Amino acid sequence: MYARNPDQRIVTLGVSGMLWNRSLVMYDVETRSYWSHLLGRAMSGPRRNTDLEQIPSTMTDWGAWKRRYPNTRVLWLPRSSRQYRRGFYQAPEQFVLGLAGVNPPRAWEFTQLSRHPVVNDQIDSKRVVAVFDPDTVTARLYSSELRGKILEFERDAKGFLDVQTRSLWDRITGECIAGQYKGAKLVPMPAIVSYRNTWLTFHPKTDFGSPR
Amino acid sequence: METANPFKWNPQWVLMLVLLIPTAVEAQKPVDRQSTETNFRPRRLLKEQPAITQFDTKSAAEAAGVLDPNELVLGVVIGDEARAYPINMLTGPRREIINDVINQRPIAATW
Repeated sequence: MYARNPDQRIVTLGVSGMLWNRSLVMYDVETRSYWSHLLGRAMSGPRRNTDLEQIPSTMTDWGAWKRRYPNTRVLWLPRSSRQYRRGFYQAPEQFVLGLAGVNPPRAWEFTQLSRHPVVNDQIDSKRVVAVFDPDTVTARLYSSELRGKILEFERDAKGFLDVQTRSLWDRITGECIAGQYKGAKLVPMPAIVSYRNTWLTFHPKTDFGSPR
Repeated sequence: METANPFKWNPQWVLMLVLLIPTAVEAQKPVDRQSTETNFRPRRLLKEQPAITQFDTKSAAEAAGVLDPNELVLGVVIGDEARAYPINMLTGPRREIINDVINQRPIAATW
C-alpha cells in the first residue's frame, strides 16, 4: 500500500505488463516512468530514483476486519480468484513480515512468529514489536513507544499485554482494549507480508533480527 | 578462390571481446540494491493495462452476504476511514493496482 504523491506530485499507477525479478512493474500515467512494485521505486523514466512512501496496511481476513472496523467500505469488483482465504499462509516458511526503508531492511519470519507471536525488537535505536495473530494469520509491526514511554510486550491468549501496566492490546489493530491504556493506539509501522524468496530477491541484505 | 571468413579472429574483435568481459562479470554479481538499479531489465509478458481509478465500493453490511469471513483482505485505515480490498478481487493482470483516495489521501492499493 503506497501513498501516491511522492514529492507532492501525484502519480496514477497501472500494470505495465512487464515483470522484473518475477515481480510486477508499474507505470505512471503522468510521466510513464517504470516503478518496481516491491521496491516502490521508479527504476527508469523521468521520475527515476523516486520512492513511494509505503503506508501501514493489514493483511487479514474479512471476518476479523469487519468486526474491528464495522464502518469500513469494501472495494467491489467481480472476483478474479477464490483461492485467497485464511489457509493461504498455511506454509509459514514461505512468508515474512518485512520492513523496507531502513538500512539494512528487516524481516520477521512467519515460522518464528508462529512460535513467538510477540517479538520485542529494535531497529537502530527505535523500539518496535512484531505481533502475530495465529487465528487469522495476521502479522503486524508496531512502534513500542507510546506517550514518550517505551513499552515491553508479552503474549496473552486474548491479544498481547504490556509488561508495565498489564493492559490488553488487540493484535490486528494495535489498540488497547482493556486496562490503564484502554483506547490508546500503538503506531503501526509500514511492514508488509511477502513471500520470503521474493523479499530476499529485492532485499538481499535483510537482517532477520536478534529478538529480545 | 579464397572467400573472406567472417568468423576469423582479427585484432579488432579480440579487443571488443576483452572490453565486453567486465560488463559480463558485472551482470553476474549478486543482486543488491545498488546493482538492481543498474540491472533494471524488465520483460514484457502482456500489453499495458489501463490504470484503475473508477470502481465501486460497498458497506460492510452490503458485502456481508457475498464475501466469506475467511477471505483475505488488505485493509487500510486513514484518519477515521477504513477500507478493505478483498484479495480475490485484487489479483489478475488487469487489476493488481487500485488508485484510490481515502480521507483526501491518494493511495495505491496493491500487494
